[in-house]
Parts: sequence; C-alpha cells; structure tokens
Amino acid sequence: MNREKTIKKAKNVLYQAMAVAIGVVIIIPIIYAFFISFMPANEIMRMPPKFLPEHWILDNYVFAISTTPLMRFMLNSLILAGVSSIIRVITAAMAGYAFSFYRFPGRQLIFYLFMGSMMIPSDVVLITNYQTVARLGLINTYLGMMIIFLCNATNIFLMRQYFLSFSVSLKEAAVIDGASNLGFFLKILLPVSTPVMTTVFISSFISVWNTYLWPMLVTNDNLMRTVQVGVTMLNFPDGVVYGPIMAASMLVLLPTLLVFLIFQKRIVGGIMGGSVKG
Amino acid sequence: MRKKGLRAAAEPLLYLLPAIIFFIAFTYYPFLKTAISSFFLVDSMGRAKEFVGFENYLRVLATPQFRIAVKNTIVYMILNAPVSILISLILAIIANKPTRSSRVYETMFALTMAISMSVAAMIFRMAYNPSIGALNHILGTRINWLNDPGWAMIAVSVIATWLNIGYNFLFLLAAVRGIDKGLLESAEIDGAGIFRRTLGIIIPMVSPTLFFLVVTQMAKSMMMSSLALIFTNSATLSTTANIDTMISYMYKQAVNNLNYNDGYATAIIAFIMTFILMLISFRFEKKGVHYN
Repeated sequence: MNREKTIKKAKNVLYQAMAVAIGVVIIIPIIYAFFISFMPANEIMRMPPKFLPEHWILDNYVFAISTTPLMRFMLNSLILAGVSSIIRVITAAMAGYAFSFYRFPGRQLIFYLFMGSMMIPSDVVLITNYQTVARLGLINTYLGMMIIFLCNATNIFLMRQYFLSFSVSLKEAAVIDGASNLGFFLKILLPVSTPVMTTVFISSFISVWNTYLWPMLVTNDNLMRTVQVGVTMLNFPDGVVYGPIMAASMLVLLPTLLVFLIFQKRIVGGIMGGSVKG
Repeated sequence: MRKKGLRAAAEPLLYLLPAIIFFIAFTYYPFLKTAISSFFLVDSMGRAKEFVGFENYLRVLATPQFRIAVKNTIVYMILNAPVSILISLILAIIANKPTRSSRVYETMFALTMAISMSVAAMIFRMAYNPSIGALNHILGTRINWLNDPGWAMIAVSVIATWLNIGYNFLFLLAAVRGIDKGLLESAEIDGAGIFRRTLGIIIPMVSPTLFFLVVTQMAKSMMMSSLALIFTNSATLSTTANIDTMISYMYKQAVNNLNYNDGYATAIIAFIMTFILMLISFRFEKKGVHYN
C-alpha cells in the first residue's frame, strides 16, 4: 500500500517536472535574449555560439540607455498606452451604461453599429485614417498616436455585459433617494465596477503598449517614437549590435511582463470576455 | 413636460456620443472612403480624380509582387491558425490536471501573451543569424533563414506562431477545464489512453473554442503586416527575400510610394478575401463543431 503511494507520488513529481521543462522550452527565446543581454561583445561573436555568459556585464544596458533615446521611447509608450487606456475605459463605461440602463429609440441600431465595427479590421482603413490624422495636423503628436485607440467595441461589449448583471431597480432606488442619473453612474455604478474596469484597462494597456504599425505610421520625429518602433530602429556600430539590442528588448519587455505577472487572473478574465484586441 | 421628455430621450445619446463619433470617424467613414476611392484614379494627395471602374483591382491582381504577398499571407495563416492552436491544445491538455506547481508552468505557457512583435522580432533575428545565432547551431544547419527565399516567410511566420501560443493556451485551458470531469474519468476507467481520450472526448468537447480560435486567428493573420514591415523597414535589418503580406504590400504602395490607387484596391481585396474565408469557415462550423 505504501509502495503504491510512493509510486503515485513519484509519478506526480515526474509529471510536474516534465510540465515545467516544457514551459522552459516555450519561453526559451526570452531566456536566450536575457543571457545575451549580459554577454560581452566578444563572447556574443564567438563561434560556435555560447548561451551562458562567462563574464556577466551590464555594459549592454548602459550602452543601450546612454547612446539611444530609449528612455524617451519608454516615456512615449507609457503616455500612449496609459492615457488611451484610461480614455478607453471611460468611453466604454459611458456607452455600456447607456445600453444597459436606458431604453430609447435606436438603441438596437446603435448597438449593432458598434459591434459591426469589429468586422472592419483597422488595417483596412489604415491609409484613410492616416490621411485624416495628417489633415488634422496630428502627425508627431501624442493625440495622433492615441486617436485610433480611444474606443473599442469589445470593451464596450464587456462593460455592457457587466452592467447588465445589475438590475434596473438598483438605479430606480438610487433615483428615489435623490440621486441624479449621472450621480448614480459616477457614485454607485462605477465604484462597484472596478473589477471590469481594471480588466479593460490592463488588457488595453498591454495591447496598445505592444502596438507597432500605427505609432510608426504617424510619427517620423525620432523623439516621438514608441519603444516598439524605436527598438527596431536602434543604430549601433557594427560588432556591438546584438548585445545592446537584446538589452533594449529586455527593458521594453519588462513593463508588460510585470503587468502580466501581477494581473494574470484579471487578464484571463478579460480574454474570456473578449477584451484583448488591438 | 414635453421638454423633460425630450431631455430624457437625449440623455442616453450623450453617453453614447463619444463612441458614435469615434466609430463613424475612424471605422465607417474611412471604410466607405477606401471602398469608393478604390474605383477612382487617385492623385498623390489621396484625392479621387476620375472614375475608372475595376481598373485598380485588375492592375493589383496582375502584379507579381502582390501575388507573392498573397502566397506569403497564406503561409503565415497556416502556421498561425492550425499549427499554433494545435501546440496550445497540447499544452492545455498537459496543464489540465491541477498540481502543486500548476501556477508555474501555466504562467510559462501563457507568457508569450505579454510579448510584443517588435521584441520577438529582435530576439528571433539574433537566433536566426546564420553564423552566431542559436538556431543553426542547435539544428546543425547552415541556413541564412531571413534571406533565403525558401525559408524567409516561414522563419517570419514562426515568430507569430510562438507569440500566439499564450493567448490560445489560456482559451483552451479554460475550455478543457470546463469538460465534465466524470466523463474523462469514466473513459480512463474503461481503459481509454490519453490519445483516445483526446480524440474521442477532449477535441469534440472543446470544438466550439477551437473553432472560435481558428476563425479569429485566420482573420488576424490575413491582416498581418507588422512582422513583414519590422524586417524590411528597420535600419539594422536586411532581408533580400520577399516577405511581404497583403497589408504590408498595401502599406508600401500607399505610404512609401504614394500610390493610393494600388493601396486602396489592395485594402479592399484583402478585406474581401478575409470575408470570404470567414463565410467558408462558418459553413464548416455546421459540420464540424459540436455544441451541447
């Protein structure tokens, strides 16, 4: 009996070890870049390649930060992702509130109009949106970079679903107690909806932070570049290219990685509600 | 009284106003403008000059570079929709059983979700380097991955295959965990091995999620351009092989060459091809997907 238990336990441990080993294989490109980022240039250029640094150095990080505007790129990305995600939460909450707590003519039509926008990929309308932004004089501005991220149909849908779980009588009771419609929205509904707002904010932050195409299109001033665009355009003298680029990549990766690790549960909830979409 | 009624009717619209303006200005208006302009001769400022019918479309479809771009997009789509989803399904089955270290490997399986295309492109470019990169060393090959016309598109697509694993995994894990435990246990008692259980129970039970993922990944893949543009645009990258997709071809025509005629038509062709692909998928859904 005891033997059987030991075998079962050993099997379980083996299973877990195998699962973790597979996990390491999945993230091996990140581990690889991590090691390279601490490697001196002569070790990187060595053949056959070595994967573990013999001498761990910070030079690549120092070089990447001091010779390129990487920190400025970080700031640009932070402004872009942070502000547009906040606005996205606001626009989604407002629209979700109208759809779930009001009855009015055209409600269905407007709802389908919003949801139908998911059928039109942003890449198809990319050129025309670029022309609009250029005509508005928003090239090389934060507003121009943010403008197509300010509202998102899946976010609106998620908010509406969440609000629908509250009964309309909640609002009626608040109104009888003397609250205005706006007061109910701001003081009662939004405070109890922080979980869904966090989900929308985080998923939006990760997807906007990671966006490449639109910020590249509407900026040509090097100081307005986002990290995603900037990291692919870093210029280093030949021979030292890879170390600093891997160091820069690690720095760019860090914020989303931290957000992901801290808020993993929320992000998973958001995915199931379909809210992770650029 | 009437005034009050009017105000009450207008109030919800005020909450909807920002979103209404947004979707009209940045989704519907540009879509209509792109569609209409594609039938016109357009100057280098993007202004429509003269109606030319399907001329722009015929020219784009006859361009060899565009045809290569369509082929590349399909290679990309295959490596993303079926291959990445299959890998994620295997991972979800592995992670299905909760253990003491579940949290660790679940996080590792899902981690690629947090990584951007740009960073992944930088890491893989290093790995693909023919002399000092890891890949040739591990495989014992001497392939110039990004500059070999036969390999370049596959090498680029594999980056996205890897990136999509995390997202697909999380969906499939939720689906696999949603399967009735008793069903799997009784099959195990009946002597069904993991493969029989996978084919007989797990795949049919998660088929709605699989279908959803295949359709959304296919639609996303048809619109892919970032990786192609990262590898051809950036200062320190060079690839001599053609890795253009439909949308990166559109981008280059419109933005780099100011050829809006081809740009608009390419955008609409890509849109229609995606749309048709979706219609075919939904046809297939009736046959292959089991809903309870």
